[in-house]
Amino acid sequence: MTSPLPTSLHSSELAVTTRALSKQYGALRALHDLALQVPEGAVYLLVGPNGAGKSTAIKILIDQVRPTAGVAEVLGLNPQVHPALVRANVGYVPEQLDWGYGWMRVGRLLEHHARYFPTWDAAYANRLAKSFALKLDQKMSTLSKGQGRRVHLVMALAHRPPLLVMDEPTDGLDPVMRDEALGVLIDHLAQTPTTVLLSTHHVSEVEQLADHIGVLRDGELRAQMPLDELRRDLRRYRAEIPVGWQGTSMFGDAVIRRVTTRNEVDWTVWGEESVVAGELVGAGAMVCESAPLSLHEATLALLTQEIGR
Amino acid sequence: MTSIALHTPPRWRTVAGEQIRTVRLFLRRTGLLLLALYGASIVIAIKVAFTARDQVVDGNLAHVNNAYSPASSIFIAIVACLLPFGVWQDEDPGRRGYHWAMPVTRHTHAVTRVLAGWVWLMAATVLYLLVQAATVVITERITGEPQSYGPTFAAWEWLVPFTAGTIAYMFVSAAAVGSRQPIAWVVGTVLLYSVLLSLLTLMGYPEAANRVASVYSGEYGVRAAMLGHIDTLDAVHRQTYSSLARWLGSTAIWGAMGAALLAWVSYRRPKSS
Repeated sequence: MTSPLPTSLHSSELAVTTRALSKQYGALRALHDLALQVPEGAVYLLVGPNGAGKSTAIKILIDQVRPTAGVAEVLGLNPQVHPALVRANVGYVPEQLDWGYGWMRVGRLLEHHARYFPTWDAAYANRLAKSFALKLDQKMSTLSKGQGRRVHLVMALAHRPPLLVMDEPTDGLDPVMRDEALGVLIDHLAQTPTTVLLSTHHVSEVEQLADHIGVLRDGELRAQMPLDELRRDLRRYRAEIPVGWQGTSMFGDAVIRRVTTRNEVDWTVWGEESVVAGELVGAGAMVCESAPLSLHEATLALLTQEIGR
Repeated sequence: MTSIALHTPPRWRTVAGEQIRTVRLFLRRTGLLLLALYGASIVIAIKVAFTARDQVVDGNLAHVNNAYSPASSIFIAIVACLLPFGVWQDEDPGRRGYHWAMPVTRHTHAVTRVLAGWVWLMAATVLYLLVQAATVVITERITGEPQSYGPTFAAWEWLVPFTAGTIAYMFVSAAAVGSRQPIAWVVGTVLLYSVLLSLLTLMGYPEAANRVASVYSGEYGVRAAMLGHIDTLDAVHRQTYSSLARWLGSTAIWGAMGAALLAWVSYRRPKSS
């Protein structure tokens, strides 16, 4: 038997948890019953199409948005009760760049930011600014989207927070800077014990970095698991089938993508390989190929899965 | 529970110091303009004093009066009304994402920023009074006459600009903190009050009109708080007199209302969040 996609982790040490988290904007349901579990030390990739609720979930974690129902816990703290303490421990890169200090120069803004974070590492901030080719005398209002993103990355990393929450951190960066940013992040994680919650559409970029994934669609968590498990149990099966094969609807919702022709099936199925292959053979199909998916392919499959067929 | 050692948020004193520096940096050009204005007023006072010294009017020497008047607190109140628009420029409630991601609560951010602006307002007030005092001394030196031709004022009346500025600043700051259209709220409130007063008078409700008018000109009205004195109108004359008790009372009433309004808008969260 195959099982449905897992939505909970078996980890006792969690940096971020949410329980039955819901957010309603008038008639619009942004989040429903979200149970996010980000293990300590993990690099958790949160994926979902635009409007899936990723940014809302992230904003709830730093108390920028209050949930309609449910509870969030960040590093053991409720953000609604301890908003300042939570934010002191989070390096946040927002999706939208909201400055309010457009008249400030980059160097002055970094100084300003440093005063709010007692653990600010000035030497590290300078190194990061150099790596990101930031001009410290440039006015914030004149920065491009990519430059603004780089300033945010410096601000998020330089106080070495235990938790990084990054909403589309590479959005607006050119390919060279994207590479640089990921290199910096890899170095940072090697030097500083950090949990990362990362939301991005560019999943292939972070494949080498991420170790957990959560899939959010229409405000609901469709799947949540370690990436190893995803790579192991989400596979593409190509099998030859006899004419008039009766197994076209087997496995139910465990089939993430189902392409069936007259004499062949090309399915993406969630389940233990031996079990899936065994059941296919048992149903009269001849399995020709069983291959793991790349993170990009897996994400695409999970995001385009038709639910409740 | 997590085993991670948590970082502490910043001390409020550090945040307040940084906000004071930030507001100073942002307002430095406005501050220079104000300094130029103060300098110009001294230059004009000197010129007037020199002109008056040798001038004879109707066979008598002309007098010049540059004595301090608490009515000049209106200038500080105007500065106080304009200041919040500078302090909160580009930071209406829809554009505070950066500030609301900082390790201080929203209301702490709002109150601290307001306080930072107030510190500079008080500095401007001190400087303004020093300019006033210097003008008196310089005029006396030039004309050789004591500056006591106008009404004399009690020592407490030198405090009126501080309280007047603070009250005006708190109300306008509340509009700037809580609304995306603070100018509309400030101007709208004044207009609404004026229209209501005019309507009641025109429609023949003198008693109601008097009550509404007392909000401004009553014994504990805005005017008493802003100027430190009130007007009484008998059958013939309008008399102006200052009263410490009325000033203290009106300052307490309007100051408390301004503070309460400011606290309310600072704690209130926009509906979308």
